[in-house]
This record gives sequence, C-alpha cells and structure tokens, in this order.
Amino acid sequence: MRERIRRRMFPLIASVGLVLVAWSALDLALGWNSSPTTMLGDLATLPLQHGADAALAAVGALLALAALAAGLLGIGGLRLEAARRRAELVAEMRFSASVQDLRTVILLRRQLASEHPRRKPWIRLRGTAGNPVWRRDWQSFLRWPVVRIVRVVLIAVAAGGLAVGGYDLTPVLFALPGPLLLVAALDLIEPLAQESDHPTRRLLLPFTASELIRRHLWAPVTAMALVLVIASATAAVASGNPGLALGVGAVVFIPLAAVLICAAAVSATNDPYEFALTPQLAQTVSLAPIVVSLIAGFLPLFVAWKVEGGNGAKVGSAFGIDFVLGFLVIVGLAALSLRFNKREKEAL
Amino acid sequence: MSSRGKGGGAIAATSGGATEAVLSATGLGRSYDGYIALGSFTVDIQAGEFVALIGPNGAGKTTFLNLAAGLLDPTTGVVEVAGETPGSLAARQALSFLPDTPVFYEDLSVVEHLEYVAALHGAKDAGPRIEELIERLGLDGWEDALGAELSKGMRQKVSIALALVRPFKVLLADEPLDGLDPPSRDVLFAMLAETQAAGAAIVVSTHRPDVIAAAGRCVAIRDGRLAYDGKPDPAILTEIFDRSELEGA
Repeated sequence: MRERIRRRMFPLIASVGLVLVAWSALDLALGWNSSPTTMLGDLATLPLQHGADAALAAVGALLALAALAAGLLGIGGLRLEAARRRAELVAEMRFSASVQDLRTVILLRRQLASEHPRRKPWIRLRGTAGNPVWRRDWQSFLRWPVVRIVRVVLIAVAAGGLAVGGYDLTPVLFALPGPLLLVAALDLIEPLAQESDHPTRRLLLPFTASELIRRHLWAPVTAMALVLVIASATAAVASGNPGLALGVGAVVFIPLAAVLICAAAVSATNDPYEFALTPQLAQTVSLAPIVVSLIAGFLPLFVAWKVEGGNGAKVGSAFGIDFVLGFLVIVGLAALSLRFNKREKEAL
Repeated sequence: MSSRGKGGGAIAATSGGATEAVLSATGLGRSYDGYIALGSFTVDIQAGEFVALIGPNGAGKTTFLNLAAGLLDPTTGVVEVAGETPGSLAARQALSFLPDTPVFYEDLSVVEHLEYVAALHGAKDAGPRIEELIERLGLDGWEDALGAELSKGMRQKVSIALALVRPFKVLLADEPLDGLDPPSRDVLFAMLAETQAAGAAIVVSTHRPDVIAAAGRCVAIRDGRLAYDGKPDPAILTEIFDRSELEGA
C-alpha cells in the first residue's frame, strides 16, 4: 500500500524538483533572487555576501564545529535516568498535544523546563484580611520563576512590536499579537486552572462555581492589563507616535485583557475528552480561544489603522471595538459558568 | 447559639442545652452500575458526638463520607448536614472534610493554603489559630513549603490543619491517622477532643483500635449496610468482624 502511494507520488515529486531546479537556473541566469532554493543558498552564504570577507564565513563554520564539539562532550555527562524521564515527559506531551489537551501540555512543559513556583515569593503577602481569592491569585503570581516573568515581558514587547509592524509593513501582522498574548494569559490564569485541576477542594468551598470563577478572574485581568501596558509602551517607543499607541492601548487594554483571560480560562479548563464522540466539536472548543484572541487583538489595531484622520479619530474608532470585546467577555463567562456547573453535576 | 472553643474552628451546634442531629442519613444508598456501595444506611449523629466509622475495606465508609460531604449524590434516601442538603453552600459552610488523600494547590505554600481556606470560610482573625495549628502539628519551618516539597506525613498534617483551621459543625475525617508519627497522633487525638468539647460532631473512618477506643460511639458498616451502632465494645465488634478486618477489635 505504502509502496503504491510512493510510486504514484513519484511523478509529482519529480516535477516539483524539476520546477525548483529550473527556477533556480533562471534566477542564476537573470541575477534574481526569487526561488526558494536560491533564498536558502543566500542564507547559507550570508557571511560571504555584501562585501564580507572570508574570515566572517569562517566564524560560521567555527561556530558549527564548536556546537558539535560541545554536544559530543556534553552527551557523556548525561544521566540516563534523567534522559529517560525527559523522554517519557516528551512522549506524554506529544500525546496530550495530539488530543489538544493544552493544560496538560503546559504542565508537562513546565516539568520539562523545571519551571516550578519559587519557594520564596518576590513579595510576601500575609494575613486573611480583604478578598481572599484576589490575595491568593497574587500570591500565585508572586511565586513566578524568573523565566516565566521574562517570557511574559518578552511576549508583551513582541506584541507591541508586531502592532507597529502592522502599521508600517502589512496589516496581516495585526493577527499575531492576540494569539501571542494568549500564551501570557495562559500563565496568568494558573490560579483558576488550579481550582479546575482540584475539583475535590473546589466542591468543598462555600461558593458556587460561577462565583468562584468570577472571583478568580479579577487578579489575572489586572495583571494582563499590566502586560498590555508594556505592549502599548513598546509600540509607543517603536512607532515614534506615542499618542496613538498609548491612546489605542488605553481605550482597549481593560476589555482586551478580560477577553484574553476569559479565552485562557476556557482553554486551561477544557476537558479534551468532553466531546470525544464529536471530534469536530472538540476541535472547535479547543480552537475557539485562539480564534477569539486573534480577533480581539486584530480588531482594535486594524480599525485604528484603517480610519483616516488624526490620532483622536483613530483612538475613538478603536474605542468602539470595546463593545465587541465586552460581548466576547460575556460569552466567555457564560461558557465557563456552564462548563463548571455541568461538571459539578457530573461529579456528583 | 454558636461558640468557638479551644477546638479552634469548631462551632457548637447546641441550642438551649438540647442536642440536635447535625448529620442525619435516612435510607441512604449509592450504587454504581448495579454495584451497591452503600445500601439503605440510616444514622443520626448529634452535635458534640465523636463517632468511629468502621468496617472492612470496600464496606462503604468512604462512600458515606463522600455523600455527606456533597462529593457524591445518593442513589436512594436522603442525607442532611445541619439540616441542609450536602453540596449546598450552607452545608459546605457547616462541614469540614479531611479526605484520605490530601489535595493541595501547587502554587501556594502551607501557610497560604491555611490563610486561603480560613478566609474563604469566613474565619475572622485566623492568624493566631494558624500559628497554633502550625506549632502543635509540628509544621514549624514548613510554613513556606509548597505541596510538592512535603513528605506523606507532612502532607497529612497540613491536610489536618486545613480541616481544623475553619469554622464547622461537622468534621468528617477519612483515615486521618495515616502516615502520622506517634507524637502527631497524640496531638491529633487532643485536637479532636477539643473539637468535640467545642460542640462539633466528629465522624472518623478508621481501622485503628485507638481511634475506636477514643470515640464515644461506633458505627460499623459491612457490605454497604449498618452492622452495628453503639458503644465501642470490642466483644461485639469481634462478633461482627474478623480480626483481620478490624485491627485489634
């Protein structure tokens, strides 16, 4: 069977290869740089181009050799048990990814990277006064390891940079900040995800599932708004038009933060086996948070980009998007409440 | 009338000197695909009672505790906690459950767990109570430890502290002495006695003779049905159970 498929595919593969060779030959003859293979060749010979001398090319070769040597030397020091454990984790992670179990993938990735909460928090919050869920959520954030903080800050900076790139290069780039910021939101939703991971403890707390979810969203939304402030500040610096960047950021950062956190909450508390018998529905539920975050990130940037006139007009038009974002938040909250109420009934 | 005794979180359920059933099951049953885990179980437990729930493995002890805690729905019969349906917010407020397997949030330390649970259950000024529990259970130096850093015994101690840090009228404990060293067991017995003195009802699922001896009442389950309800009399218990099923009875 496999052999038959290979035999049938051969003419197609050979044709693609011939086209690529012909395309490269054309590039060579006309002095163009248009075929994928010419681009790859360009990349490989980058140090030799633009007047760079041979010594620079040698640096690349030396770096490759050094990496090879380091790898060969380092492999001798690997502990077999650790390597085996990592291989098991990777296998589990691959399986979880194949069933779109994003929460498990996140937990396994943290194990692989040894990304554990700090025993000593950055700032200690003590006492029982005030809102316990708000304080508990900040206690969780204040135990973040350095690598997680750096990751979230870099995501914010990249999101700001992509927004500017969308203005200066192509609006297609506006589609990227939303899904990128969703990754940060998935870290920020950890306290609610913990409640979802531990139903026995949750079912003993004197709160309905809906109320507990609502209480668990305030701190992540506030933290996400801070992330969006970093993204706006980056865009302000990179664009040279701080008025527009900070203006758009200021009018959408709270509703956008709420949408991203709701999307992350839906994603982190998703049970991949809930709709096992209807895989299309399962895939829709898994993809929905990504699509929603894409739309939520894209809309205000695109509208502000599209509208003619000064900064005031652009910021004002972005403000109108807040109603759409508000609607998405309501949908997200309803989906979360339905999910948790249904699970409570099923657990009994 | 409510009062907070040395037992810490316990709130007395007595009213005008008369006792009332704070945990009541009538014809309670739970089955799983035809398998009867608990069948027509009836029991009334008064405020201030210390009840040892005994029976061989698979008898239905944990099923009863889970039904009373609102973690399971009954197939037949009814159960009430302080007059409320288990799982309702009032019942969750009135009942503290110490499960057989400790459950912790991965991102909170021991003391943060205690503060969180105490505050969610409306415990006012829980600080001194938390300090007392940490000291008496030998958790000093472990206040900032995360759940993943704790040994089995330490996890059990934290789980006990979590059950006792908040106000309650009924305490359900599933094998609470598991993994505890002898000094910690003595501390737990003392704490249970204080909790009982403060007016809370205590139901402890156990196989241990020392717990049965400490309890004022023994409720035995066998094959999902009530086999004995009365004073913890070793002679009667050995008639009902094999020695191998009930340690030391």
